[in-house]
Amino acid sequence: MNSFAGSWAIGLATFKGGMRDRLIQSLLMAGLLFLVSTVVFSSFSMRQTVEVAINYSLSTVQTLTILITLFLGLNLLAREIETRAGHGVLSQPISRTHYLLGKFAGLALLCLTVTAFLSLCAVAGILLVKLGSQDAQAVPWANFAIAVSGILMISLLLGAATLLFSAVATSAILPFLATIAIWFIGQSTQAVKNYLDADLAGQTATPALKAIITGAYYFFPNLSLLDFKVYAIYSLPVSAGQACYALAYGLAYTAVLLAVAGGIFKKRDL
Amino acid sequence: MKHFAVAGLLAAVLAGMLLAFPALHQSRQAPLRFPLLPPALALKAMSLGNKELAATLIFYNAQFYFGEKYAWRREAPEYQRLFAALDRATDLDPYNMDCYYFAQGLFSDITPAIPVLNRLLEKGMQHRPNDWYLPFFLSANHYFQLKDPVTASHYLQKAAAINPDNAIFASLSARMLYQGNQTEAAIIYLEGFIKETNNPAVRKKLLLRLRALTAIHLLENGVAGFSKKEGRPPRSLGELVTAGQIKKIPADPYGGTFYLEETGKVYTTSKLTENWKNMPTNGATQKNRESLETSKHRVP
Repeated sequence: MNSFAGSWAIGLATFKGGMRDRLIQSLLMAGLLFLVSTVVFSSFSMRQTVEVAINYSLSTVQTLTILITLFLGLNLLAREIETRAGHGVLSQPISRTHYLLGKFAGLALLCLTVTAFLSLCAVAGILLVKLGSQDAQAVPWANFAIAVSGILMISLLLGAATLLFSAVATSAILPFLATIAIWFIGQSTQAVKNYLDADLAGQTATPALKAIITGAYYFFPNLSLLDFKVYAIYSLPVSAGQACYALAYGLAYTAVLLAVAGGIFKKRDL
Repeated sequence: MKHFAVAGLLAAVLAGMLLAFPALHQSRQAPLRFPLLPPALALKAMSLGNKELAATLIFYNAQFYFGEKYAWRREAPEYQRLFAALDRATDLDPYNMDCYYFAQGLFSDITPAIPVLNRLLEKGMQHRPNDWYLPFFLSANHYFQLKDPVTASHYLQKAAAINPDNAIFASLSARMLYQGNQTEAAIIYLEGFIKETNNPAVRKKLLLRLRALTAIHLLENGVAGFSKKEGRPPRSLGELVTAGQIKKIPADPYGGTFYLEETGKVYTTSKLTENWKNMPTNGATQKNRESLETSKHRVP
């Protein structure tokens, strides 16, 4: 079997299996309920109901997409290794790297579907709020699309991180905790670096601490670079260069994670 | 069938408990305190990439707390904690207009809070340069509370540049440079604010303020009319009633009593600084600090 065709077949099987997963179905239902509640949530705003609706919707899309990616990512590799369910496929004439890439392709398709579905729900929620609002300001749909792309990119990156940790770990707990840690660190490093650069920490920021923070800032994925929500909420101008750079950074980081995961998984004694 | 009967019985017990709940809640209220929030950096990290949503949630919490504390329980809100929360929320999301609007509604009549309130609004102006509300609020604070009509006019001109269609800015800006009509200008400003706000608790607070100002405006007009007619200022506000300038001295909605100073200005004995007394005086002017020590506060 051609390796890429094999990867694609694994990807499709992963996608179909993921769509049948009850977890994903229940999370999607929860997402739908959250987005219906957009109208109630934004009604408490004093002066910016539409902005609050966009804010709430995008945050819901982001959190649910990341959670779904995380749980699916764990099922893909860590649980298969744990239960030896993937050994049948691995005995076929397909390299482990292509097996891993196939799994990631399936995960990416699932992420894309989930993000698209939740974003459509978000659009419906925002339009509903907009209809009932006296605010004549137009919703910046182009910025909204960029923000959703950023969310998708963050999910893919964290999905690749889950696969990397799954390739190393012997159980599903380590990849789960490690990916949560990457999520937490990745969206905080920019704020912490800004805090140190602005000299707000005073004498508590020793040179050693600064070096560690700077190291972490460059080593861990900078998820705030991929966060375009504020541009969508407040109609702030986004340059095409800024958006393309962020997405290229996300893709490059994801590719590196997958390459390392492939290298480790190839040599792993199963 | 047996299960349904048990479920129905339990539901009836629950319904009975729910009926008793409002009375119980009224009689045994736990103290309502506004929580102290962690630093903005920690909040950013904890929000897991949703700092704008975290800011909105802090604002909602502040709004609900104020509504329950001030309008429902009729207790003095913890203004300093509320201010700290709104400041923290705008550190997370400096574009959040709700926070600035709410802060202006809450603190613009608390003189010692004006310096910190103005700093918050300046933060908003940096991030929302096309929003005329922020320079408009700053203008009102400088004019009514800091008694600085020149700076007030400067901010109002900024508001007029952002929103040239609104004639009130130019009109008010000119009026501010003419110190005499402060009360009337204050009434115009408050009426505009009340018309725009959709928060019942804030509206209630400002309506109270508006009633006080309207009463003072009535008394000031009475004093002016008396002076014109009699050729001398009245010795007391009671003289206005005797001379038929006004029917009666209106009540101060804040619970104080209006009186006439030797200078001919109308004052009230009510305390308008509310419970901002424990606010650290960091940045507050000496004049504002002094105003905390006296029970006589000029309105506005």
